[in-house]
Amino acid sequence: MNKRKHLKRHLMLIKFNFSFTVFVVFIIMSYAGYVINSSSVFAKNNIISSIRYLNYKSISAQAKVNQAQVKNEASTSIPVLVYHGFASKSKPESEYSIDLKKFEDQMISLKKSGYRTVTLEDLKRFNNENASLPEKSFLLTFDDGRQDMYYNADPLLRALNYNAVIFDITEKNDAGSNYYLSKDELKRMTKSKRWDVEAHAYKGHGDIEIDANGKKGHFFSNKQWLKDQNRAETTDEYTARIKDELTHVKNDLESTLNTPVTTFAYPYGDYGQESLNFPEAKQLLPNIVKEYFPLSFYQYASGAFSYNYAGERNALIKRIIVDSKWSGENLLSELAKGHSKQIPYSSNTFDQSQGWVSSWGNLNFDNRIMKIESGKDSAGSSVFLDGSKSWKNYSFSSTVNWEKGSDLSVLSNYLDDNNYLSFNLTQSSVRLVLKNMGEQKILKEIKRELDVPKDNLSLGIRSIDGKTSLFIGDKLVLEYENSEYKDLYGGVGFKIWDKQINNASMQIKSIKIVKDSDQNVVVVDPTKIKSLPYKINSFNQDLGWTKTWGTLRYNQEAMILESTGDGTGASSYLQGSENWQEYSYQTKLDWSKGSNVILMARYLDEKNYVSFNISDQYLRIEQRVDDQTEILKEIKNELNMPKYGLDVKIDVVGNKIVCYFQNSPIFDFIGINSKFNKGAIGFKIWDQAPANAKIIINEVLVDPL
Amino acid sequence: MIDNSIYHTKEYGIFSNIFFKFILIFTGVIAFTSVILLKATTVDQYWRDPYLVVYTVLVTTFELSRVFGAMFYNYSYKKMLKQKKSFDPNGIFEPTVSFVIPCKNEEKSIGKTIEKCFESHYPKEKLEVIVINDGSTDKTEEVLRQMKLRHESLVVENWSVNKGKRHAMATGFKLAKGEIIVQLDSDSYIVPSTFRHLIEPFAHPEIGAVCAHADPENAGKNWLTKMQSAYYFMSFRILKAAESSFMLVFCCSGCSSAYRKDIVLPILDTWLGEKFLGLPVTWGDDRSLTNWVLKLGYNTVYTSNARAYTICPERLRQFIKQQVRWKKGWFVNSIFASKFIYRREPFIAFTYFFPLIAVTLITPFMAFKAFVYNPVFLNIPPYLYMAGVFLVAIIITLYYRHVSRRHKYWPYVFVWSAINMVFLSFILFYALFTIQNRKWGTR
Repeated sequence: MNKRKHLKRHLMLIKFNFSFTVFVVFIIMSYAGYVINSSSVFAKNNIISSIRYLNYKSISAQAKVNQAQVKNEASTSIPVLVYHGFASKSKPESEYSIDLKKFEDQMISLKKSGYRTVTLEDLKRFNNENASLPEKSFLLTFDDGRQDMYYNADPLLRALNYNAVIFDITEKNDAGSNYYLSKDELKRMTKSKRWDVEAHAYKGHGDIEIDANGKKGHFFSNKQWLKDQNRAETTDEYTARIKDELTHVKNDLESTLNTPVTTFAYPYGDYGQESLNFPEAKQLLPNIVKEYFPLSFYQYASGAFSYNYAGERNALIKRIIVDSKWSGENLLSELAKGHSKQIPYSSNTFDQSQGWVSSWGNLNFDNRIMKIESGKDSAGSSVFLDGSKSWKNYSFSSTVNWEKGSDLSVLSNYLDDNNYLSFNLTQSSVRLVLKNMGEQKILKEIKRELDVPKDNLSLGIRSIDGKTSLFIGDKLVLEYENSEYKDLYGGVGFKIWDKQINNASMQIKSIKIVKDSDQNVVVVDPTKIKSLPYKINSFNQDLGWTKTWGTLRYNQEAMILESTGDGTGASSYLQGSENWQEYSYQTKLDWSKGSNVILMARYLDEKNYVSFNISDQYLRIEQRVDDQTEILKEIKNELNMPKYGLDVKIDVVGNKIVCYFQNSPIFDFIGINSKFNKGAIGFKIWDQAPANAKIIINEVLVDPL
Repeated sequence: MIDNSIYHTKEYGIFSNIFFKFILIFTGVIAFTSVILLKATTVDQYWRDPYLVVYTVLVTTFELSRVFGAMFYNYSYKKMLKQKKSFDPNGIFEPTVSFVIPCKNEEKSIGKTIEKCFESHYPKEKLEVIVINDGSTDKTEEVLRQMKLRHESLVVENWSVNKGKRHAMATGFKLAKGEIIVQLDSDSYIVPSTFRHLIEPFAHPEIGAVCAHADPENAGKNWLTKMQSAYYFMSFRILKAAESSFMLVFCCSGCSSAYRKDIVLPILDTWLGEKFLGLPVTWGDDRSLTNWVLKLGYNTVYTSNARAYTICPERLRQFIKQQVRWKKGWFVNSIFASKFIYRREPFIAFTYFFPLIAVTLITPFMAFKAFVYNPVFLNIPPYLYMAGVFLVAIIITLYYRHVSRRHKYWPYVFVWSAINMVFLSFILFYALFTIQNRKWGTR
């Protein structure tokens, strides 16, 4: 007897319903798990990314670009930054893993100060065709194709409207990896238009055995040791192996992404220069790579210009490794060092931040003087100014102290250590030397015993359209012209050398680069730098007062400033007071003629200064920025104005200016332009009619505040 | 009439109930989504540890399947009652019933138990109460003598030496005259007004045993009894109910179950003489008896309509001893049942019975891995594991609340889960190590 026949059918239905329910739950759970981990929009990482994006969006909405820092100029050079990935709990911060907070700080700082990313296409055009890019452009790149990189960086880049390039290791693009990106993720990145996926390696991102002892070396730059045949591979085999690798990575990416892949980043930035057993790799490898990838990237090693310059047609693009420890502020100042500098350029104080780069020996800054010297193992030392590479047709003058060493050189048209023009000075000769592709060529030499001071030696080199002139002091010592060299360009630098090890050093005290070929080479004489407090009531022409307009003359220990000829005014400033910062500037003068007497403080040049403008009708605090005068404060002049014995004073502290008349404060203003953080003192006079302005200055007294 | 009072929520207003159900559903959706998210984080590790991922997904499905099973309980039970009508069209089914109560040293509670039996809403002439005094050394015999005076029909069998619960039960079964035998623990009783519901299913000829819903009477005593109260409710109203959906309750609990006598009598001597590893089995008698009923081809059900009260251990030591005994009983009887269940009910065997054994045996290892191995050797904290257990507890609790809004000890489901996670699952191994210790050892 089947005892269960009655319940059986009823139970069948329940079993079916139950199984169905459980099955559905199981499927939902498994499938949802799969979906969440896949690369769809609902994937966990993407949901987190979206939330972060919204968060960043609100942050970056507040963080407006500081328009004041953006000039709408074209850029002649561009930095390329390289990152790898992000630190996390399981990955401590390291050279290759930056803390997300740091990265946020860096990117937001870049954004705020007006930096914008360019695409790889932009960079290619910039490199090949000299196409212009906006000021403060940069290219952002990430190596290795790590997941943490993408999911951490993407929301921020999206919010900041930045894009980036990743260099991917295609061997690692398995769906199962939770360290490297999968093909699906790469596709999504490409689709977002924010990311450009390019080649890094297939399996070549690592070491191979390079000798019988099992020594390891980089895959790309070394010949592999063939164990079974007990020999190193031949050059042909090497070439075949590299070609195979490059074909593989190119095909992998092109088939995954359906778009041509034309750039490549050398693993470890080693394009052959770090080869251990195949020195020729340095020439051979880039040539092989070029067949597959017209443009390739490596990490910038120190001793070269850090930016890439327009129209250079380089196959190798330099990248700046962003230090994981840098704050946003640090990154900005690092970039500022390499940023293209403009002519005229002058400096009589030197420090780290200006972008002086040592390419040999030691470089240090002491008391605002730059010093280069040979080290324990070097015969000499050299330095160049980063950001000066695109300079062309200029005069470069400098004041140096020649301390030790047989050869002192002033370098111009400097591209790198193998390409520059040099004003070479020894005890017995003056030479003009051209170094081209590492070959040294003496263009012209004058042999004679030099009688020059070793200290405060003023040297100048002017190279314009193939015509080069060398100066010592004001004296032209050598001239050379060859139209073959009229396309030379490049930056400035110094070099000191002695045949004996560790016996060369020089100090650089001031430099000035000017464009105008006719202008006299004027160098700020460091001996004329004035110190505070400064008091003078007996004037003569040797004090450093310099007229920039009109006439300056001296009479019975007084200084007279007057407009002459067709001039409607006159002005002068005190040379050597350029670095004064916070001071009280007081003067006693007689106002003989003219409608305006203007006392200038924080004078940078004729177009930039702060002033106290006195006329019969009004009193004004003004600032002149890039030749535009701005009235900061104005009151009607109700003072009893004596024409003789005027006592006028300006205090400048921080961004505050206070004006005094006859020793009583008239008015003040807070918030003068931040560019006026230091500057010289000076006078200016003006009148509608030509030659109708004159003051007699009896005393100048400047006290530090 | 079905008395569903503890499950009905009539004392709450209709809007209160709608709101309450809404909250339950809402929390349920969140909990289920969280389970999915949690599983997703493990699916993430699929390529590193595929077995673990498959295991965790399967285990979670299995645990949730108990809740889904329980959801079919009412439907299944009502279907069975409806079918019953074809055998008992006029509803006149009223068999004679014998209570069999083995007891030892129960002078305090035996009186009340007997009293409640006689109070059952059932014709007195069809009731019989048999008490086996299994060598009590206290005043039990005295109490029984007095009860005999009050209820003439009370059958008392006094033994001067203790022979064990099984023997007492067997003797009672043999003495019983009723068609249905209700087996009670000496400290349990069935709520008289719900008694009929325990007998009702037997009208269906394929039902061999019925298990009443039991709650601890001393639930409010302390945290341990509160936790057990939650556990009882969960294990009866959810786990047993889920088994009952398929009419295959594997353990008609010893404290309050009814058997059809003509099924039990023939196997009584075999049951009595059961041995495991050469020694007589002294625990899991209820499980074993239920298994025999199943083996003989009958179905077993749980009914939430018949309600029983029992006393649960109030001290940790007793509680652990009881748990150890139950685990031993579970283990021995699982071996027994596994020999026939896959032939009788392959569906249940492979979707429930064997998976349960596997999960019960693997869980302690997984708990060990999560709490000791992973943190110490792999530096992986056990949060995910704990979250998984916690989420399953939430889903169980939500269903618990859905079934009975009034049952107030539901928060202790989490206490149970926590203790089970770090401690109780390991008791199985203690039980297995000491399986040759056949002492009864609670009271």
